[in-house]
Amino acid sequence: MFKLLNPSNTFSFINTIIKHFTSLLIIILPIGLIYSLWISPVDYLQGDSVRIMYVHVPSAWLSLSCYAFIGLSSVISFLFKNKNFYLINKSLAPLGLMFTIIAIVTGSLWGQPTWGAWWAWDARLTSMLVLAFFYFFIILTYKLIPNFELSNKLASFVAIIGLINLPVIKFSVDWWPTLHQPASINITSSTTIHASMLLPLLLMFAALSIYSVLIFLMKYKTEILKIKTKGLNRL
Amino acid sequence: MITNMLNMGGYALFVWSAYIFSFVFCLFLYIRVKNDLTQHEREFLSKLKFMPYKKLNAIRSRKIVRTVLAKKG
Repeated sequence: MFKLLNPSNTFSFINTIIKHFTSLLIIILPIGLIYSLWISPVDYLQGDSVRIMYVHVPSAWLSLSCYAFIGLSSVISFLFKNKNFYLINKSLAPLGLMFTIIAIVTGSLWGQPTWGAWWAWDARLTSMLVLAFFYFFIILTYKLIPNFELSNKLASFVAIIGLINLPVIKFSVDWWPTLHQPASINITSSTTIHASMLLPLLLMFAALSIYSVLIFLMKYKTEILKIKTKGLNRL
Repeated sequence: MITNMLNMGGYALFVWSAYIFSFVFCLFLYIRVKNDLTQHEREFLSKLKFMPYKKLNAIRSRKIVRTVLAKKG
């Protein structure tokens, strides 16, 4: 299975996937924006400020998903010594950091009119900040350590330690009294959000997910090219 | 009507700031990654360009070399 994921095998498909995903993004993003900014209803308590949810929630989901992928691929790379997973980690980290920062900043912009505070040191907000630091350390490890093997091992080690933070973020609203509201969308139990708000939320999530795949593939392709250029130098 | 839509029920500052910040950040990352990719593709091609004919012929069949060469015509 790892042979199929080999950079040489995937490289030729990446261009095709990038083209198709760009077309898909151009279609879905404007629809998502129109729904979230104008068509979706106003919340009876929060008014129009609820529209921030359509960028805040997908960003938070994607920041957690990216980290889960990084953590998982770090474990796999440690177990199977497969260098391809290191490239995946390196390509996902900037994307994850960006979504974490967007989730924190948009959350702050939503918090001011809703709670009357830009920031509170409650469990959900603090654990998201900790996630941003983990991403930052991973990126810093890749930037500051020139040795390929050492930087990959250290970054993977940091990523695996950071996995502890994921359940803390997810369950922080249930374990501790927080300003942040509990999850409205549940996979195991019933969803408490109305369909008229769920649709724009899912559309924006789809658009940002497609964007993430695009960025990941471009970054992954760059990492492969960096290695192959070094290989050409050695010929 | 357009003013009402832009006003966002008095929350314009918060809503528009959130959207503009998110999309500017996304656009910034896209441009950075795209430029980085273009630069490395160019670097890879220039290495191939100045490679001795014998060596180039030996690696021409490799998938990555083929893809990059095909993309650049």
